[in-house]
Amino acid sequence: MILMEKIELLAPAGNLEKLKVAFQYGASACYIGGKEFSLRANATNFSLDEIREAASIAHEWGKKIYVTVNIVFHNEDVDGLISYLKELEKACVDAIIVSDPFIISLVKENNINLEIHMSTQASTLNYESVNFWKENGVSRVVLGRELHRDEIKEIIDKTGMEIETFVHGAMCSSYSGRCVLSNYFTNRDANRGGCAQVCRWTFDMYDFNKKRIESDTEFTMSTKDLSLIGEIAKMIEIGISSLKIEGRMRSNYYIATVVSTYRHAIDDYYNGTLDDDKLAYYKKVLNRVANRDSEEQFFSTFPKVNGQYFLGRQEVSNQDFLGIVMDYDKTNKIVTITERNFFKKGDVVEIFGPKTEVITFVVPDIYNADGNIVDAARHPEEIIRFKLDFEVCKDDIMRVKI
Amino acid sequence: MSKLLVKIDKKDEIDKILQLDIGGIILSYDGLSVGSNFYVNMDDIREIRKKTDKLLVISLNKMIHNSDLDMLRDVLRQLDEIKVDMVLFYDVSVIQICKKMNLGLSLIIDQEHLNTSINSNEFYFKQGVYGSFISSDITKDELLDIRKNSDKIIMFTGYGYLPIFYSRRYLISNYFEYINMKKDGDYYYIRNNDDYYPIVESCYGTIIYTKEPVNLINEMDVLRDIDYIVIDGFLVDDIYDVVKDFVLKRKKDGVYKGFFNTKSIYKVKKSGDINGKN
Repeated sequence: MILMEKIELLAPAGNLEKLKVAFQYGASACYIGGKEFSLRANATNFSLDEIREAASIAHEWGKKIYVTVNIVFHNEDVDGLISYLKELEKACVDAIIVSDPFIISLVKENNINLEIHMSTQASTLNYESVNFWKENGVSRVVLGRELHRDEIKEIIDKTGMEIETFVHGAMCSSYSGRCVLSNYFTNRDANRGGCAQVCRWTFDMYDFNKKRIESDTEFTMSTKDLSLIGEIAKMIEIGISSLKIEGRMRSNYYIATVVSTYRHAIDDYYNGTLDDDKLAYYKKVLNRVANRDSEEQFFSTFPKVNGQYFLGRQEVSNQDFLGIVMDYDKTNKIVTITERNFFKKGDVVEIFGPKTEVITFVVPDIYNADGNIVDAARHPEEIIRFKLDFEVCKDDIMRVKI
Repeated sequence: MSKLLVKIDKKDEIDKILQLDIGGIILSYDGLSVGSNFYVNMDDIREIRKKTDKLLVISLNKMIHNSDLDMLRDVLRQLDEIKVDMVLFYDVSVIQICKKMNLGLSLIIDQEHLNTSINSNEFYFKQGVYGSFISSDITKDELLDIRKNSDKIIMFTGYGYLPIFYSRRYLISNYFEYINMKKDGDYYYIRNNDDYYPIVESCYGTIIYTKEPVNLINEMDVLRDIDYIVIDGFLVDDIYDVVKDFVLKRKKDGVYKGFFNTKSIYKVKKSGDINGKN
């Protein structure tokens, strides 16, 4: 029997805690940003020490770590870059993700042993461009998000290149790299990590005689998010090497849920157990964790009006994440939870985790840290205990039933 | 001293503009370019080539998909035969094809927002690229540093609306469909504070432009070592007058200079950013 190498599931990690969550819940690799030279300039990002630790954790667990060095450089940004790249080499990161091609030359000229992935910021959309990067020593290309699956397949077939595509998360409305709205509206440099998300704003629209278009709905460039859970089988079958989840600034709960859902779907595919019922459930899970609607966008068809938002940001705070398991007392069958969102006796909830399949149950009597019975868990970080007949693990997640 | 290159936006402007003291003209190729009202085919280029000894520069600034590649190969081959003077391009497939087909075209990398440093340009020059159309998102000092550190051809926009957003989506059509109104043409504005930004849709998607044309007419002395100053006629009523002003170096008050004297920032104290870059 020939064992198929599974497609890589690549997750974002905004800090070490999220990195561990992503790995625990099934990511094969994580991408992280350093304090310098990385888009998302205003995220927490990783210090060099943290990058070393991240690489060490990844390799200990048989996973990979990629570091974004993906700003579009100005002359002034180059100071310290060579020594930074040498530190990444020493840290044994598995690759760097770049958008400015001069880093390819820099790495070669300085004999730095780092694999290079070309970022989606380069908006690579055709096989000749992929071949260009390949001949220049790039080992993987993250394709632009504007491609149909047939185009992706043709690129893979004609280049034999390792191809990464986005599978889930928010989308730029523009071709990546061709938007500087943020620069011209807010003075914040989009291609150096300062994007102010002007594409999510709303605007009055005027005709070319500057007469306002009379409508209660304002114009926006804003797009719905991307979700390709329904296309997992096709993505694997056309030969994509890595499926990337967007969101270095997302919460632990979001990362855990999205990574775990895609992990299950991928494993189901290779086990031959991925069916419509499972996909419907996975879609439901992903819809619940998202704070925005999602679409398949360009992968299966050309996105039209339904691919966009026209009623403001429509982002709702997600209250599904109820708590984290701190401890499970096997003898007395008591679980200790740190509360994240309101729940009460009688609620139907679930617990899931890296080693815990989804368990659904009705919340029984609940007790506070002093052992007093309480009618509800109202306060974030409050310690709550209740009886649970199923064994769960530390760090498992409790959520509303999906 | 810089020479002027004028990007032609109306067919009937060509003869008149060629009479002025300019270095040459830029033409957008039909099917492989965006951001113009006037596109040429190979016959047009041959005709225009016969008319003038001034530089003939072809712009191929579209995002290239697999389905464009056959046409791109054919067009590059014919442009090489015609011996156009320079080819502006966005997508690196152009370099790849020219190498594979052994074409001798003088390629100018024109990536709008990505040509922002000495080093980035050097990468492309090592690939045999002849010159670089530098992004207008950088300051005068950054531009002059690039100039000082390169012996290749450097171009820079002296006048014109700058594209600041390009989406594959039909954003105007989608909006009108959503509000259930009829779209009347492809040219609109969006308003931010008191500024109106042109937004234009074509079969290749939607482009938003700066609130007014960048105009560096007062900076021509500063720009004297830049090889070519580009004047783009897109969305401009009478580009002939603009070109004449540049030829005669007539200074203007109150012109918009974009980032020429302003540095962009990218580290801010607060963040709430969840968007889709990796």
